[in-house]
Amino acid sequence: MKIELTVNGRKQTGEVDVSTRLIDLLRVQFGLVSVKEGCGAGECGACTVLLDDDAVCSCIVPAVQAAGHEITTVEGLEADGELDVIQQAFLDCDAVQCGFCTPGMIMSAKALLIKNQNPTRDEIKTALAGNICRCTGYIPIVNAVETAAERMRGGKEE
Amino acid sequence: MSWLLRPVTIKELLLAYNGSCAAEKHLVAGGTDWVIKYRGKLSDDSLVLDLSMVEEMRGIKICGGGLFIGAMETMSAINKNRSVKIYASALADAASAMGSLQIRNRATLGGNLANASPAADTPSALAALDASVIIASASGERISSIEGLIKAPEVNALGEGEVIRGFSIPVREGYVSAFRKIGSRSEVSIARLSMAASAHCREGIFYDSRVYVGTLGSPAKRCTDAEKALETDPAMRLQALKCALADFAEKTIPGRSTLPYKKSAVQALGEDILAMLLQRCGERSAAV
Repeated sequence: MKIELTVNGRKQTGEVDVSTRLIDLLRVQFGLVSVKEGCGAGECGACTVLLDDDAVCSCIVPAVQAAGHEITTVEGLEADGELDVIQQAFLDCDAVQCGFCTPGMIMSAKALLIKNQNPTRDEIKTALAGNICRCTGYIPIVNAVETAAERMRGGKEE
Repeated sequence: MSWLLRPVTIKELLLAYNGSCAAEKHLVAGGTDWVIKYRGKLSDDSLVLDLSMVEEMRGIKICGGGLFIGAMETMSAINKNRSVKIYASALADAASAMGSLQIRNRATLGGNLANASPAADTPSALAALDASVIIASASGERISSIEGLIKAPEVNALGEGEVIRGFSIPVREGYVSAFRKIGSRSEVSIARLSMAASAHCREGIFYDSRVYVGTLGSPAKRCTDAEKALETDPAMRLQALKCALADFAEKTIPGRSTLPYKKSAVQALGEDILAMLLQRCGERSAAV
């Protein structure tokens, strides 16, 4: 079955069948390899992408259900050669070690900050609860999301 | 060859389902369990019906004295909805406690019930709220209780060609409800035990209560002794509730290795649920 969807702002057509997951469509057909497959069961969050601004685990979304929707991956965050504020904050806060979980972490953070630019640390932790990192101990990641939120607010504490 | 179809009405869905002679027929809601269970394991003669386009299975609205929740509504949508928070707090609690945010954004209420997992979060909440399941088939619609929909662990009581269209929860003024679960960690945790209760509350006294325990052999088991305990004198209430729940655990899973843990945990859950009910009762009184 052919489906049409918007991926990182571009209209795309994909070919899907009963077994195609969103992650397969993004990685195999569209070459978006920032989307990582970890557990393949919606438990680690490495495959997190945005579906209409909501974070979803693309390893458990049937690809057909993405038809007509907007998908955003890390590849779609950079604009005019500039990293997204969240990507930059991850670099600045040393929130990356092996990097496998990073795209999923960034997309979960993106979903949070689209809806709430002034999250508490607890709200950040809840938003990232579905993303597992085996390297960093999470503290630099939470710091990075806090930093990104602050920068998005123009660097002013409220 | 496997067939993938996307009906947009229940009529189309049932026509496709009943008209097919495929060896395997699958209804896919949010896919969060289905993908893990069936991807790569379907026979070549399979029909897969994606329910995500069926409009009649969506919506959260008050109609006919009940709160209707479409089977395809996600946990996130349910948790955010104002009417759910007012009239079905236990369900809002359960919806917010399930999995991660990523899962809650896709997992549906209908899927959670149809899967009939003994560790599912929403069945005990729905049962405590006295919810009805609206089941559609080619011969029309029928209503089932939540307990009536769950036949055995992982097995629902839907007949061939039946699909859950939605749920109806009675809208009752003066009632409060709550859900709580215990898992191995605070977030993204599968329930080891859960509990939901609803009751009419007047000046700190409970009437007409319903108490359901989840993940104690089944996703929703009613504990009538806990209901009686909840309705007793406030001075005796907590102790009576804990005793009733401990006895219930002993009678429900006798001899199981997990009994000592669950017996202790169910009493702690009872204490938490009572505190939540009283708090909500107070908030409701303050708002009036």
